[in-house]
Amino acid sequence: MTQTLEPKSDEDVAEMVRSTGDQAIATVGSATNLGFGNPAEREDIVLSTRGLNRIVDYVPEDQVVVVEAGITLGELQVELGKHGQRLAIESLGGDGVTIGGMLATNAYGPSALRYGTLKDLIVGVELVRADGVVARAGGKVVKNVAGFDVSKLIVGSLGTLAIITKATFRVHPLPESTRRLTFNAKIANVFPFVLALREAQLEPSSIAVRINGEDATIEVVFEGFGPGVDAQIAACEGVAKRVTLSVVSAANVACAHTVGIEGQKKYRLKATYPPTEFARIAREIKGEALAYPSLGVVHFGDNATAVASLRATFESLGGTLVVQNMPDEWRGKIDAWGTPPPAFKIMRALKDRFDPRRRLNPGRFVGGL
Amino acid sequence: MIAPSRDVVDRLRLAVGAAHCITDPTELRTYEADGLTGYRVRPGIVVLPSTTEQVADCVRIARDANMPVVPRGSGTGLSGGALPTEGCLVIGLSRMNAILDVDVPNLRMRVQPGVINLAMSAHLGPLGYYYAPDPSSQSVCSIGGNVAENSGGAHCLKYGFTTNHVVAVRIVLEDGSVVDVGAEHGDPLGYDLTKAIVGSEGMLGIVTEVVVRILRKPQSTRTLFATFPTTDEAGNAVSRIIAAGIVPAAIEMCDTLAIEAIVASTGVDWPLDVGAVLLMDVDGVEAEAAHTAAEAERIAKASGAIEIRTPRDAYERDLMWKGRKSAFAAVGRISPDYYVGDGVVPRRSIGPVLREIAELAAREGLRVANVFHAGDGNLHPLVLYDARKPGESERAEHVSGEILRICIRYGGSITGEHGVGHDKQFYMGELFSDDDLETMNRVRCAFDPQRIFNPAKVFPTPRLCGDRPGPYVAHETEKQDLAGRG
Repeated sequence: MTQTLEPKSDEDVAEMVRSTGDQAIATVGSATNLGFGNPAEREDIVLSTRGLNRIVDYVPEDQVVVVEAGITLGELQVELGKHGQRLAIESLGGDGVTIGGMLATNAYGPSALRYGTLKDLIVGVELVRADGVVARAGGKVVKNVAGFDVSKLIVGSLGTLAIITKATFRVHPLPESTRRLTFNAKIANVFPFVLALREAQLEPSSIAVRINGEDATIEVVFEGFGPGVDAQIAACEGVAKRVTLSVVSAANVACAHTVGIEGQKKYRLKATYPPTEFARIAREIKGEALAYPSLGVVHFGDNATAVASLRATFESLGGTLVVQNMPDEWRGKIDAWGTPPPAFKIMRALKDRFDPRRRLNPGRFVGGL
Repeated sequence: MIAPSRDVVDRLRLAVGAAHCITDPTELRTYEADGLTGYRVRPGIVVLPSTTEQVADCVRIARDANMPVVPRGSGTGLSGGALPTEGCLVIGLSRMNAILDVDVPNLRMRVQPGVINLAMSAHLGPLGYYYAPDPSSQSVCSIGGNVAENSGGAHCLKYGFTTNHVVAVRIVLEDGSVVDVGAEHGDPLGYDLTKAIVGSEGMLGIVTEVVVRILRKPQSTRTLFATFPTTDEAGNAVSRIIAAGIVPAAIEMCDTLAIEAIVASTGVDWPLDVGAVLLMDVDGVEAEAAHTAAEAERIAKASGAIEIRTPRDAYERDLMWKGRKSAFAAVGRISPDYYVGDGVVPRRSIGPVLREIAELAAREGLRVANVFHAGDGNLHPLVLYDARKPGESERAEHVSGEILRICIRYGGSITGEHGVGHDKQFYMGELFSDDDLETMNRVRCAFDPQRIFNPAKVFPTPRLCGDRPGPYVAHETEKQDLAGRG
């Protein structure tokens, strides 16, 4: 019988970890996606971070915010929005996901094109280690090279190295203007269009593509001050004409994307590839998909056969195919991650150093980490 | 001096060729120090390999002989990161300076570690692309050194630091094995070891290839030069520009003493009777840059700017930036000796911190020149002194150390871009708890359990407690006016 613990502070977390011996701990936030990765080898305790949902420190002038891990992205954005700021990241699972969950899974949306991922936005972290010790890395200033960058190392580690209790982020001003253009295209035209935008020195904050067979719908979003955004929209329409795309719609929008962030509920798989291979992979997927063509990312698939048939293709291109939302019936049959990378021995050594008794999400991550 | 055994010398000569194996005591002196020239330690032997395999061979030989290994790039670092450990093997990577591959459509470039930072942008320039991080020493520092230190630069305010631009590396590990880390495209599978390696100050392994992200040049860059009565008004202008939602590509400040030094050294026509100079770049598409430049100019005037200049052409712009980037060496014109600081404070605290630094310096009877990255609160206080005057070195050391403590007290950091190295390791114990440091050490132990790589850096070991920051001495290239710093 799994026991659920609900700490209210980082000291609570440390005490709970210390007082539960060798029991295995699964840390969960809003529990919006418990199917991320492989099933754990064992799971004795569920530790919910939802009681850790405070903004610890926020000075808008410094554009830095310190939060507890259990705050949701939506809750955080509301507070930042009051001061004309935001954490420049989108969640494919909606605004109800926790910051801790996003950090654990390295979640990001299409605007990573301009703002990077949480690895680029995080500047400090507080952790509870598997031995119940509280440790910090980084700090509260954006520019800081004191000590090893444990903050970035912990992003995407799926709770297997330590429990994240607090994180500090750089935040950005909300743009004065956000405008979106939508185009219909054939998949063969998508990457040439991306290159043409780049050649024209335009700076979209995101490009997202919905793929359906040979057809594609491209959304391009520009953010910034009014005059710059207006000029970019006009220039982007010109570029689109040159590569023979037709404009479907233009809109001033509060939320940058419609198709760009619907991924997690619809698609179970995420793959990466060199951006120049876009047309090839779009054809091989043979169905609906959501891609960020400049980033070399595609979300697609809801059936297990796609994993088997396409993983080798992505891996041969130097990319990956990962199951981001595994249904119960796949468990034990399909590996979520694929071939462990060449540096796996270092990863195993890290796991051994941070969690020698294998208490934290044992077995869920790459290669059984 | 601990000399390596005859056998080790022979094996290293076989590995890299006798011509690239330095044992002569006079020649070894070149490698006694990096840019922090106040500290000097004679290495046991220096090798200059030209391939990854040679690096791996050297690491295996050193490991068998229980010799510490200290990697070295251009030797321009300001924290003693490449300072040898007594009797160590220094592996100098400056001969590995090939650009291996440029993939413009995929925005990637693969280089060897000895490639000079500016050479990457010079190579990409004709294609319309560049590599973003731009340390002031970029005309001489190497990408391998940038990876070790997670180097910054003026333009990292908008574009980020080395860590935001390095996506993969090839690294020689402590057992001499070679592994590829990271992912050229998309997310790396498993732990993101690249993020641990960047900024690890040569303590996790030796990077022999680096894959970086390259950027398309912006349509337009606008530069603004503004003078102010005091650093307070200049600081307010910075705060208001950023509060207006502008993300400048760079925004730099110099105080009166720094201006005096820069004018004396470079001959730029900056006014000497002002309290502060702000130098700012905004970039992007033409309409965006024009709008933000006009807005920034309006804010600067409203914040009390005395004079605003905009360069007429690229030559004038380069001259303005040359003035800023030469500041560290320029201070040599107004003081025989000085310490370079690299502390960081939250942006809103810049004003009070500058006042505290001025009060501290006045109490000790010393002058401090300030040049800094105002946009991200990264200060470079230059503590001026004359080592020939009794007691002044000690007072300058004291002031430098107290400035770091002020930065810690205001919630900042002891280093924004120069690294901890040997210089600031004692202060790590004031910034971080033992548990924090022990956690970082776990990362190190996962990579290098024998601690053969750069063993005496970053962590405040008991042996090194009490060590204080070293004085700044201009690097040879700076004296010849080839490169700046900071």
